[in-house]
Amino acid sequence: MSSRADRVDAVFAALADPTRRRLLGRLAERQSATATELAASEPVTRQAIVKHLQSLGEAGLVTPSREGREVRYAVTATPLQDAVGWMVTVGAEWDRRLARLRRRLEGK
Amino acid sequence: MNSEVTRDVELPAPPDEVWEQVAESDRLGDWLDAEVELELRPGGTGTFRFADGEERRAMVREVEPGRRLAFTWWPLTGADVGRATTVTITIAPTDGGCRLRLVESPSARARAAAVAVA
Repeated sequence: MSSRADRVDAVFAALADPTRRRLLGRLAERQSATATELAASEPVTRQAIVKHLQSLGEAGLVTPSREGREVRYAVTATPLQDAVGWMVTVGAEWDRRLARLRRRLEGK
Repeated sequence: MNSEVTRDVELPAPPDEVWEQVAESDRLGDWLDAEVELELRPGGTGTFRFADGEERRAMVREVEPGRRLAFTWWPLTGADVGRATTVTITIAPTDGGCRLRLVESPSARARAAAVAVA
């Protein structure tokens, strides 16, 4: 249905959004999560998170599985995505840390 | 694949002030959200205990006061256990304060070891 280049485009499009990058990083940290679990610590609504997770799923970056009334999402494990997942996770960690450093310096 | 994380941030403080935040273990720990003990000399060792329970060991590679710190660290727990990466922090003065560049990259040797284990 889709060429390799299309799939790569879909991956980059999905990763272009900072919220989706952060969600993917959080999923990589926890192995898997539902939208409700992710919404507990995100500044966006559960509805928005569901949409972001669907975009990540269409790009093949996460795999949904049904769990009762909810859908559980896990990061799809392939070597490329391992590398992407690492970069996303580590990048999100440094974003949080550098934001704290900036706040400390601004608070002086 | 050359996976590497790079962040550039402009900070509203002079390089010396930012260097204190990087070089003093207590201050570094404050913004890393970890308990940090880091011996600030090439070859010096260190420990990072993160708030979420993750623990990392570290070894300092480069220290250039006011300008540059590089260390290699590796987790003792979690999914990436033993996966060593090198963190390099470079500080350069700007008109309004300074620019901090952060690079974290897996070392070729660490990757080769990970592939061998897999």
